[in-house]
Amino acid sequence: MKITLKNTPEQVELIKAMGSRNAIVAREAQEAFAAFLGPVIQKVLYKAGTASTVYVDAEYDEDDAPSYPLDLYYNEGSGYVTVWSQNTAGGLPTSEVTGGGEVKFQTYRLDSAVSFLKRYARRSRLDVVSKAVERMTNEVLVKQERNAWAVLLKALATASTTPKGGSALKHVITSAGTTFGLTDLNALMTRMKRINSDFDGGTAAAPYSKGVTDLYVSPEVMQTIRGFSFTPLSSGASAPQLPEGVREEIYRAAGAGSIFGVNITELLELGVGKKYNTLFDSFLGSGDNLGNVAGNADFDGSADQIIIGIDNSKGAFIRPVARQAESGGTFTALPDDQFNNNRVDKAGFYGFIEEGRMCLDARAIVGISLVNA
Amino acid sequence: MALLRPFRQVNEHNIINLFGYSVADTSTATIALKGKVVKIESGWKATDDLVIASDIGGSFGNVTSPRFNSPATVTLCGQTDTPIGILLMDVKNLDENGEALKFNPRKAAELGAVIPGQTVPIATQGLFLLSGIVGTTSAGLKLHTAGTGEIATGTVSGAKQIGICLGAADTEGSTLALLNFSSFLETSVA
Repeated sequence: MKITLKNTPEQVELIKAMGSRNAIVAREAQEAFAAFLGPVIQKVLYKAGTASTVYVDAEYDEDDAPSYPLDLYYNEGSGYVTVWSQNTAGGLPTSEVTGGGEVKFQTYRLDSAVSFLKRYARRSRLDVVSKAVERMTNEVLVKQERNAWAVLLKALATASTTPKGGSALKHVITSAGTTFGLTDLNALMTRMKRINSDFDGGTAAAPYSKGVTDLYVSPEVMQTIRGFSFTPLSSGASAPQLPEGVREEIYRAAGAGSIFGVNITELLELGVGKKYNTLFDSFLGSGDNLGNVAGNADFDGSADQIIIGIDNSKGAFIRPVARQAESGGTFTALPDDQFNNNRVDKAGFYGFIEEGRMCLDARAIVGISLVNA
Repeated sequence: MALLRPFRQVNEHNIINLFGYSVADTSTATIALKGKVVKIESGWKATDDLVIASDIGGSFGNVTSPRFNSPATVTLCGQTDTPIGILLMDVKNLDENGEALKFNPRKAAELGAVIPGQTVPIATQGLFLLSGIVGTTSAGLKLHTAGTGEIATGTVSGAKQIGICLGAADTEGSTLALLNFSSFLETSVA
């Protein structure tokens, strides 16, 4: 994400003042610059991140320690509140209900600081100043993204739901073959439905179970999807083809924005040997066998790849973020006062954000382990 | 037991705030008090990310709310290990009432404590008033590592010098010490 400082006379004057040899003038200018920097960075972090499409912000006052109450009946199947039949009035039985669970969370603080020679500011080098701020923001973003996806991937790797009358289902299914196909997406949607039954194991009422809304895939999988426009879905004389209109749509759009109403997003961090794929592998327990296709007994981050499906209608992924008392913002930028000294002839800024990441209901996430034969 | 008293003169430039304390013990009420000498347990790398550990609180099915631990950690310094500095904050799991500090960051901050896995400020140089130094102290006497994060006077083979006493212990048992974990380390105390 690029941050560009507008070349207006006011902006130029402000940047010049930051480089002033008069410590008071320089400090005041830096304070003013930092004051508008915080909200800008906050917005950039929100818009540039991929995790912000999945996580819902939950702001809380800094130094507070809130928690999330779980549904009163969380993990309680049907029959918890007893319903009976009596033909004649009499007796006073009741199902006494007590409090539910509460989820605590831990936050982490991400700090970063940049500094530059005051001479750049004196010469109104807006590019140097904006590049410094831009890099600081991007570095914070990289750390944020990794932590966000790590929590999401951990939730996916450990998730398991037992539908009523069935055995435990992992939320990750194994692909039918070694190439992503509509069969896999189809099966994924079924898995999402199966793990999202109501408390009695029956059909969930809308909007509780909308199913997969977003699919996060590697560029290689997107390549396969683009291939749907000019290759059969499987080999053989009677190989099925997508309808002409769909193929044309994929062809014109150089890939599909959505299939079966599921939005598809490419992430470069997904794919064999890539950052999030390796993370997912690290969160899988040694006994977490995701299936056995073509002799591939278990997920291997250096050979197989994970495709992530999210039900974004649930808001199950929360980012608790501390709201700073003074600014009311979540990202705080301040002048770095270690350079408030004429002899060093430098100016700097530091910024921080305190946030956490949590998954309150892993039934909002499913995945496909795309196996490599 | 070496304990850092309030009086000190330390430059913020001589404080490392990049290492968390070891997560080997996440249940003992107090793991280390400020003033303990620490060594590196796991080194720091700019490219390292936070460690996503087990759930911070109760474990609920299909709920993930993990601890976020610093990958670079320190732990108490042994007698012949290479120290990097002294802790400027306590490392605690529980407060004085037995309440978990991981759920009460405000209280932890007011106590001057961090929980294991969180970064803890470490002073590498400065003037400190310390109580609980092992052995008799007097002006000019060398101070060295003494195992389990302790500081001692005297001569021990293999121990690393970390500073000198600037006076004898007062009636409260506190000694003013000049600590420098970069310049004294090569000086033998044997």
